[in-house]
Amino acid sequence: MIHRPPQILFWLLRLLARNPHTYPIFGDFQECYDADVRDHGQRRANLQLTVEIIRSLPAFLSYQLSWGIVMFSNYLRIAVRNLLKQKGYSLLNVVGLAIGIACCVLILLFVRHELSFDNFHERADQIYRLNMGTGNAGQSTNANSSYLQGIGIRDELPEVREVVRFRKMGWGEKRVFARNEQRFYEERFFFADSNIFEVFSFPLLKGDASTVLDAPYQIVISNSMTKKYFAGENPVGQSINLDAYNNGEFLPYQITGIFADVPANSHIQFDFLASFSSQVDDMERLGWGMESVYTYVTLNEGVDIVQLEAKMAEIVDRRVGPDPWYSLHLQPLQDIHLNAGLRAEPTPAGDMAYVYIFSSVAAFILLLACINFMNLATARSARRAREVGMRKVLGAFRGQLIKQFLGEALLLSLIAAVLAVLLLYLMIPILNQMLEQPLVISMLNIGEVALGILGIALLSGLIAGSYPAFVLSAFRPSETVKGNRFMPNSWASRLRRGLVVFQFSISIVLMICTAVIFQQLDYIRTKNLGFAREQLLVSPINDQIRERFEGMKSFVLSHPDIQALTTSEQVPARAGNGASFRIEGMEEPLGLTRLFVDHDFNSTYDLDILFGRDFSEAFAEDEEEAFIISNSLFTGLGFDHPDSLLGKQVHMRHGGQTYPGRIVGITEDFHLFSFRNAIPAVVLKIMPPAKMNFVSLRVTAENVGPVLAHLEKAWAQFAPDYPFEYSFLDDDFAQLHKADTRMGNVFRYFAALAIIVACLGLLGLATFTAEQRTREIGVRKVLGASGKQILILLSREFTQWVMIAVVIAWPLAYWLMTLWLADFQHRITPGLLVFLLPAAVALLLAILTISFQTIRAIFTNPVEALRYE
Amino acid sequence: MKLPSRTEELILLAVWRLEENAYGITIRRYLKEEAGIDYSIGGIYVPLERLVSKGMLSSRQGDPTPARGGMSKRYFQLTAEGVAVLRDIRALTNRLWDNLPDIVFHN
Repeated sequence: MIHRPPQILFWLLRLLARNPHTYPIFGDFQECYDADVRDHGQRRANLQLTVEIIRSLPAFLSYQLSWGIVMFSNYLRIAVRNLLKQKGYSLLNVVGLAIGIACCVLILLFVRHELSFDNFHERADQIYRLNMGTGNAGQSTNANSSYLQGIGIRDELPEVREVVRFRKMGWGEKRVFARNEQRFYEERFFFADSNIFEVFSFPLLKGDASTVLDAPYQIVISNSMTKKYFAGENPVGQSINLDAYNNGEFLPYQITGIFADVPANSHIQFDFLASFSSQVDDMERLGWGMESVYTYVTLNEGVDIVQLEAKMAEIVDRRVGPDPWYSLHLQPLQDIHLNAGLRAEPTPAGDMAYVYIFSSVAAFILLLACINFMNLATARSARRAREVGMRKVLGAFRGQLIKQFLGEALLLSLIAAVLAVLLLYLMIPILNQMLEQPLVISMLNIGEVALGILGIALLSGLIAGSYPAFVLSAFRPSETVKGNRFMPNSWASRLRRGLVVFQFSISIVLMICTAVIFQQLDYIRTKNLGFAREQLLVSPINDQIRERFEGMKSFVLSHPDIQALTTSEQVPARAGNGASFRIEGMEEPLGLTRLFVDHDFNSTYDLDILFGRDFSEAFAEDEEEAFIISNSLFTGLGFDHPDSLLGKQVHMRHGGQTYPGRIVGITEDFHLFSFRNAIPAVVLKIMPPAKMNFVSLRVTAENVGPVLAHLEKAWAQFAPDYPFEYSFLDDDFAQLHKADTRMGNVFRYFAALAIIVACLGLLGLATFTAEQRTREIGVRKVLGASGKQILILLSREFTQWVMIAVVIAWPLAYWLMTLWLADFQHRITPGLLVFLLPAAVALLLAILTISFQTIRAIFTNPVEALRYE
Repeated sequence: MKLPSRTEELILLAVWRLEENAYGITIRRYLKEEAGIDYSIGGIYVPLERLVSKGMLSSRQGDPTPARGGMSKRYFQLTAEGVAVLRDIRALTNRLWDNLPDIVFHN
């Protein structure tokens, strides 16, 4: 009968002396304890043992450590030997993983950028934007608000502390800034309340945050504008001339400060902020009416937004009367960027959908790379079976083996991480160009990026290594050491097949999506818009041009390559304004898109008049009372014949005035907006140049250089205060679909990467199969099989897998793309070709990949094959 | 010649003295009783292990005994090299001690 130490000490000892090598020490403890109990009694022995355990701790520690190092170096040596022995496979794995890791890190950068919007403001969580709701659903519809709303609610509600308003002059319009001889159009300009720099954390480089915009005609400018206008000299105290109202009246604004360029992750972007008190037009008149400013408020901490909005609704009721089409809402500053869908956002909003789509695609590519690793590792497990058996015979625990194989996977993924860094440096400029977003690896986030790469590498190493680790460590030593060749069981090979099918399904889905997106983009680029969009040049105009419009027109048209010129309030691809339109005999007025034009609009834009006639100088009354409507308006009204509509009396209301007149013609339908919107019902009316904002020119020359030079000359002569600016209408339309083009490009690259990764995996598997069947191939050849037969024999299985992948991918891609296309009012119906072609490409690539290996097997001398093993 | 440390030398001598019965506990007890060096039960294995890796000691596993809870003892033995090292040390010590001049204390 021996005395055992108490449970807790026994357990502690077991824990410390777990290593087989330390078992004798364990015995020593037991023996001493037993002797101590006999000599001094239980209590003394327990105490003695505890003291001894504590005294032995350093020794145990050094044991664990030295054995850890011994085992680790053994694992490392074996891992490196295995990598070098199978250079091809290692390369496939590493390249695949590197691609996956690089994709993931890129997308993480993008996602981080998207999620970081406006969080650099110290008081970001107190700042809310006041949004208008102009629908009856009681939700925000407009990002902007009225002139006095913010002040109004601040005065009545103690929860609201500060109000900052930004006023942009005109929508999408630019203002001219002048200093000495330099004149530029600038778009990033606001009037702002004087407390802007106290509420927001845009850092001021020069000037005092609390006073820079206190007085009228003060302005703060960004650092890059300092370089542009003042060549980097200190501009504070100097002045810059600004035609804020676009009426030719340049007023000097005194520069009181410089701010650091607004970070890319701010939803409001500006280069110039002028003091709110510099405004000369009477905006207070509009009060709680027309939306004209962006209003930001700060709230006390812990204010309940729902309750506050209810109080705001009461104020609205009192001030403007009950109106279901008028409501006020508060939106947290940091939510603004990713909640797209409000009208009049100051910058294009981001879209959570893109964040999700891009993240999942990147995750898939990483998963594909991990699958490669798992597939290759299990497929080649036969080679490792003997090692596993030997280790087990020598006393390795399963846990140790699992650790070993996980470790090997981690080693590989760390090598891949290094390669991923190189890839990342190659890919970042491409992505930046595609997304037009400054994702950069700088000193600021290098640590984060490194951590991201390392994290993803470790994660993918764990995922990729887990399956082989558990499968390999489960081998029975008796079988493997006896030399029985380990045959992958049917479960493992079925899994492998499933994984390859999965990889190819994903790749094919991505390829089909890419094809559909590009087909839709092509459709957008080439579809007949109703007017000829090529060679249409658009330029904004100003008061100097308006005043001398006829003179400018005849000067411009004197150039032989300028066919026609028209002026209009709006142009296609820009904003469309509304008007209410009542037709004689109809009860309700119609809400339509208005287009104020001149006589030459239809001929310049090449719009066909379907019924009736165009505006004409021959009819003197046209200038006052002629209306032309678009065909969809006619078809939507239920008139059976156009003649019954032509000549009808109509009244148009706009800006508080009623314009009576008659319908003289019906044009074909034409696009004004993006293809996501339906073709609007448009009413055209002639207005004097004073109402107009743009001129459009039809240019004939292939070479537009001389035309532009001629126009510059015209501007210098007729509008000397304004630089000449222009765009082409087809570019403007392309601009409307920038987000879609962007997505197409991202998909293109991702689809390419996915198929590369999938093929890498297939290459590895094909190599393995060919190798495994070396002897079989040899025998077949000796018995007279032709090369073709062997090629078919070896590729048949893989081809079947890819075919299955195709069958899975088709409905999935169809469903996804139907979802995407549903957003477009004008869209393609994906043809058979976009489904067949990617499938064919995948199949072809798969066959090419396989034959790369099989052909080698075919040309091996059968004698060598038979000698194999 | 690579000299072992003094403690190592003492351990080597202990193993020699204990003959067939040199294992963790006996070596530890001998060192404590003869030289007053108090190793912990686990700690004694650190220098023992080092001497094994230096090739001066070898070890073998004994049979498991009930008194040890079924664990075997690890017995240590001097190798030929270990013996040679001990002899060298003794020779060196002797040589250095031989014919030392008388000490004259200057107070």
